[in-house]
Amino acid sequence: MEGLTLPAALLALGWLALPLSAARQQGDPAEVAAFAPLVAELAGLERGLAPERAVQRIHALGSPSAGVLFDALSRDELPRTEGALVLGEREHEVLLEGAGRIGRDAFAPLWREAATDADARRRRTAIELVGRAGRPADLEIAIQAATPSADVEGDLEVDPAALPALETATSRLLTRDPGALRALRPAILHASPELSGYLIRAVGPTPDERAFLGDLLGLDAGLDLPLLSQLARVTRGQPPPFDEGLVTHVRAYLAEPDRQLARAAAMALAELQDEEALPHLLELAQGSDSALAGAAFLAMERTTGLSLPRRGERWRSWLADEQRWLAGEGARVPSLLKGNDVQRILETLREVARHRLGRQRLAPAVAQLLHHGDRLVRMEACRTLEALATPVARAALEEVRADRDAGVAAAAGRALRTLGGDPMTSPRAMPD
Amino acid sequence: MKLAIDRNPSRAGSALVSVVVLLLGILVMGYAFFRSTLSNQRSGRESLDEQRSFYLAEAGLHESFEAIRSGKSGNVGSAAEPALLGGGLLWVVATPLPDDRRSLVCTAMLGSGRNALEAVVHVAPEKPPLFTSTLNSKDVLTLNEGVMIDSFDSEKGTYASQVVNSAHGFAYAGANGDVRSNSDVILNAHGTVFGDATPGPGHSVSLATGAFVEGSVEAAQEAFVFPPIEFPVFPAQGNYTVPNLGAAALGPGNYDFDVFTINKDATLQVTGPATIVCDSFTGGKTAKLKINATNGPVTFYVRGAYTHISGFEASAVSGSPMALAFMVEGTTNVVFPNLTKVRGAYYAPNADILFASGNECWGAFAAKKISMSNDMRFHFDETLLKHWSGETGEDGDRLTVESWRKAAVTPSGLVSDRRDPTQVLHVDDEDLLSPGQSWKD
Repeated sequence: MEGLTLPAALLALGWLALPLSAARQQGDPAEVAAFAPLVAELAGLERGLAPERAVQRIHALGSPSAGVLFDALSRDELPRTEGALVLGEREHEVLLEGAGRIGRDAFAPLWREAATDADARRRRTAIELVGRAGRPADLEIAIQAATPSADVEGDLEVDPAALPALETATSRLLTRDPGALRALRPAILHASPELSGYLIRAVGPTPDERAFLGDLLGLDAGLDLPLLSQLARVTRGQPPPFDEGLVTHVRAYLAEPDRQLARAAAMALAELQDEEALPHLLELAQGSDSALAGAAFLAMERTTGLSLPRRGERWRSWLADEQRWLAGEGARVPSLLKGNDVQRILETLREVARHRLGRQRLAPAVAQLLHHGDRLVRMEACRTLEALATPVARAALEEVRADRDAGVAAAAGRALRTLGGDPMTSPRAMPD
Repeated sequence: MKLAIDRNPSRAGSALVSVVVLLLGILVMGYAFFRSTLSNQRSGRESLDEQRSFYLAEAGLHESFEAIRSGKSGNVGSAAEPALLGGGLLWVVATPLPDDRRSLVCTAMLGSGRNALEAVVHVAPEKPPLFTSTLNSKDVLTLNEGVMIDSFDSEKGTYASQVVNSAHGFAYAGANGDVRSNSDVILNAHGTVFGDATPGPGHSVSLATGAFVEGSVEAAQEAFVFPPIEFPVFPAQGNYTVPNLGAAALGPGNYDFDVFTINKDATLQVTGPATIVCDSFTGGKTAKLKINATNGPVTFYVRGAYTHISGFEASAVSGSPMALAFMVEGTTNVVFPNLTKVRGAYYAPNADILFASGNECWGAFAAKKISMSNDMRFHFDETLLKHWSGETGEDGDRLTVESWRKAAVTPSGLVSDRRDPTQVLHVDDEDLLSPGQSWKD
């Protein structure tokens, strides 16, 4: 008898499940109707509708559609009369962009409510929308949505994608409104190490954001490593000069006994191109810790644009020669370049081209000669800037590309090409 | 006016003596000057010969570099059969050193000049290992919170037997647990790498609170080339299935199957060297794949999807290294379910690899993107370096000069005997070849 009961029960369950499955396949008519406008636009993408056009149409649906849009953003697929429309990355991006253009007022009550929702997807949507349409004050809501509080965490599904979404949202907020830095500061200082890591990585490359990272240095020892690491990341490829206070602050970390911190500082100084740090870097480069030495050599190479062999004594002798020159003849360079003797100016320019120490300071003085009356001086100035391989004078060189003299224009073009690849290192910078 | 002439006979001939003394003095001085000039000339000639022999030795080293780049040993000529160049003689002795390095000593003789130069070069293997890093991704590589990566060698025993070090709050085995990406490498809080973290060219390593990288964090000079999988061609044999609870064995050899399935609770033992090509691979629930790679590795080439059901486990038989690799061509993500113990190497250049929570891995993983849960442990198996080759980057020079210095000329008799080199070495100019013709295998 028992043997019969089980198959019968399974059969009955199957019969019950059939209509449910059919309904699911067809979609709940109310839901289908609610999502129909969105489905119509998104389906257009398949037929070749440009994403921007779809975004405009979703934007045109306006505030009344905010609730449906929020729901749609929290799903993997949208029901339609037959089957479902799968929401890939492209569709999700179109919905998000459309929602962002509708604006904050329509979504603020929704994301506030969703921040504590048990559904991780709705919480993630709240974070994404704050990034698209929020104000600095809304950052708190996004953080709340990404980090369900400890006492209720048991009831909430942890979303592994929430923290990366928070990083993106914070980054968008900062790009839109630099005032968000004020809200970010307490968030970073009071967050868990994991969360603060994501928030720090959201900070971008503007001078204000770099200064923000610098200001946080030293406030919490645990944050120094991610802060230095992010400073290196956001400074990469940015043209000098950099804020002297920030550079000095970072330089102090070279003396840290914690090798991770000292190395992170060296990597940051590699991007900040701090000539003052060269003697300290040289010491680290000659140490027994090969990983730290590698970072120190890298910092020296980036700072000077040279590719000398990675041997301490070679760099030491180079540095001594350069310091001697800079203190003697190099000190007279600015006044010599301002003189009226063309021959003397040309000789000085050639001399400057042979040196790399002080190049950031000397390059502007050389750049002024790009407008000299003598074509030979202008041409030699281009060559010198090419040899100095610093992007400091890039803007000035751009102007000279239209010089009335073809030779000067060509020399400026060559210099810009050299600066174009890796602005910190040029192929000519290999005297050894 | 008359001049007063001293005609004192006692003083007769004194002028002659003075003249003779003077003449003698001049002669002595002349001779000394002559000798000095001769000596200067000889010394100048010797110094010039010395300089020329130095340049000749340099040229010999460069000839040896070219020979190595062409796949030769680096030996050029020998003391018995030196190469002839620019009127001088040279030969290079190449001695292999550990870690793909070679010592090259070039001895050059020109006139009275003798010089020897030694260079140590690193020669990257023609086809470098494919699995050089524990994790290697095309996209950004994020090591989640608390993830730890180290290395061991399954040829030397179990991982547990090699965990003898401790640092940064972890007990670990080796420090070759490198990670790399062609984009950024991100270490979330307390992510720990006992090895190098190498981001792609122009990218960087991002370290969160408590993150730790034992080795270098410098960016790679060139992006890692993910070579397309080249499928070997063997006669097709249809599907291969190990039934539920069944046991089967595949011996050394080459196989081509359609669908390859190890069903629930089944066990398959594969003895290497074996190459198995299949359309798809499925490791069933709590099924076992036993690898005996004592005599060679086992490689699965999967054209389509690799499916890893919960509880499926690959492991090595006792005493065998875990030389197992899956080359997955498909675009379906490779997903390791919760609590999986993953062993071996996985190469999935067109797919993502996802590790669910509670996984622990012994091997290496290269994929488009790699995602993992918090607190995972990865242990790079150094055995994997010995099998499976990748590709060198475009225009890459395999040879790197690590150091060079002046060396002592040996045997020392060559230095003391300053005669013409052909006389010293008892060779005839006519019989000698150019350096380019003197490369040795």
